[in-house]
Amino acid sequence: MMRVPVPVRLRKAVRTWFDSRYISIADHRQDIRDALWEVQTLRREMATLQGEVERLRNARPPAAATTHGAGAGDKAGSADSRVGSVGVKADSAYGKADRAYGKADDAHRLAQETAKALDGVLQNEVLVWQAIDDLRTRLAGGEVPATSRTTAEAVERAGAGRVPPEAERTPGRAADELVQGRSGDERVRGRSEEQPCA
Amino acid sequence: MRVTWTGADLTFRLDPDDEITGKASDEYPIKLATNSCSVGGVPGDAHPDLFALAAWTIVAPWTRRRVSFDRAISAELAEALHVGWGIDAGPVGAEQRGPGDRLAISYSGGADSVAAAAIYAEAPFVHFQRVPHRRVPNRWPHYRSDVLARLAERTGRELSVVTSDLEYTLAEPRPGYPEHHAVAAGALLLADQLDLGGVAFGYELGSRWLGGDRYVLRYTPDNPMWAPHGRWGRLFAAAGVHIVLPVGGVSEAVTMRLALNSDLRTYVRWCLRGTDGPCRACGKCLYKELIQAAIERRPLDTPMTARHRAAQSWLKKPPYGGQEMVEYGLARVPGIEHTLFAEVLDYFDATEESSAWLDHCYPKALDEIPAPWRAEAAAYMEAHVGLMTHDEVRRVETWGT
Repeated sequence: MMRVPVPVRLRKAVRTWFDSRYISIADHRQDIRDALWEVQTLRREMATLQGEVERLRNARPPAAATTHGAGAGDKAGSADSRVGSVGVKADSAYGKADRAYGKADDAHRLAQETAKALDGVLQNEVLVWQAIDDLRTRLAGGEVPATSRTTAEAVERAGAGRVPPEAERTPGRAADELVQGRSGDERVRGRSEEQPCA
Repeated sequence: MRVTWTGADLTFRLDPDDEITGKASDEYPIKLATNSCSVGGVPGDAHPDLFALAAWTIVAPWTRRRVSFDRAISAELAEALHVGWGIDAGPVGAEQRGPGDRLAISYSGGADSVAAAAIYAEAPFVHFQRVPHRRVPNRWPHYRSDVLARLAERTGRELSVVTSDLEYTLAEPRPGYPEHHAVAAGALLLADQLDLGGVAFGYELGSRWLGGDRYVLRYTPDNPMWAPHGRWGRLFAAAGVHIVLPVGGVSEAVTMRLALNSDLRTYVRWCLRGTDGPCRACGKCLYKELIQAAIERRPLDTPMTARHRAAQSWLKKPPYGGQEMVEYGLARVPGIEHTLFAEVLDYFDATEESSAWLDHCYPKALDEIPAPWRAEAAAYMEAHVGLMTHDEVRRVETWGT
């Protein structure tokens, strides 16, 4: 490599010319600071918007909640409608729409809960009858639910009957079944409402 | 299990060893909702074995050791229950019912049962219509069983509509037949009146031989639901009502082709939801559209996308019931790579040659049809479908291996 002496003034002029084409370190620092500030502002705005989305999303259920809060919403609503000013009327219309939504939600919830509860009642009814039949069989000294394979036995079944063998009595079974049935109900969730393909 | 019929109302009580969650013959867990149901549109009296068998199609999943009926059954029926399920049944004391002369078609109005109906042009229809249960909340009002019943009436064929809420005895997986055979509960109670010796179902190749539906998904010559020598086949035969599967040897592509070429084509409806026509938005509509587009050699016509929840059943990785028909469709529908099925093309190596076996009839299925009705079905299949070659038969018999 060969070094060539260059006059200081020329060297300086060239360097200044080069430097003028680039941003200074101080300016760079400022740019970075500005960008950071921008990011932080955006972050704050995002947080505000998210808060707003959350607020809007939650807006309906609380309205419904106040409505099914033992009729308190209804009373407030009728108080609103007695006030005559136009602005309040508009508010009251919103209130009515809210309440209608609330009522529909409430009816839907109630229907679902009632249907689910009825599932449990029906199933428990089956288990209660199972327990009653079991008790009745044992108390009566033994009419076993017919397993008789001949006519003679079928006729006999109508009469005295026989004592069930120990294995068939399974004491305590009915109580177990009841508990099982109840916990089973808890699992009746998220049933598919699709139709079978058959 | 103790079973009591009051007229056509059935109630059943669990024995101490019976449980709320039982198993259907395909091993699927079945949860009991309630222990009563009724069957409408049937006569008040019939052979006791028919009442017993109709009840058994409903209570079988929840019966563990024994079943007692409210009237004495024949020794032959009790024996079939014992051999098939290990269940003690009684009381015994009736004469066996001899088979009648006629064959009824368990007619749903879908492509499969319409194909069965096309084979036996004179056979009467028995249509099962779901009605709400008076004690069980109906969460499924979109199932338009009334629409299907009206379509069945319009066919002009000899028809008995059986109304029943028996599907609501099921809590889970959803209301439906406790056993697949419960669809015939009404036909069984009508068997004496209609002089039935057999009931024809629309179960096709996939259900009978490939372990389809929700069963094992492999070749099942001894299928417990549908083989004549299986537990249900023997039990129905003992009551003098044979199970007949006229389309048991052909795929859903063939049943659809036969149905859409038959006189009944305007009444074919496989969708359970639509009113004026198929809804086009349920999983079943999508599946059937794939098959129909395949046999008509036209592009897929569906508003559904891969995002539809109902489409997911057909977009998953095999194996699943009905997979053979998806493969058949993928190989034949033009432009399938631009539809929602594009993403599943990789799962299959589907070509027309590799799925051509689904266009022919599996001969053993014809051999299984009871003698009085075999010749008619065999002649029909030979004329309209054609039998499988040796290689095609092998495709059936190695399915799922």
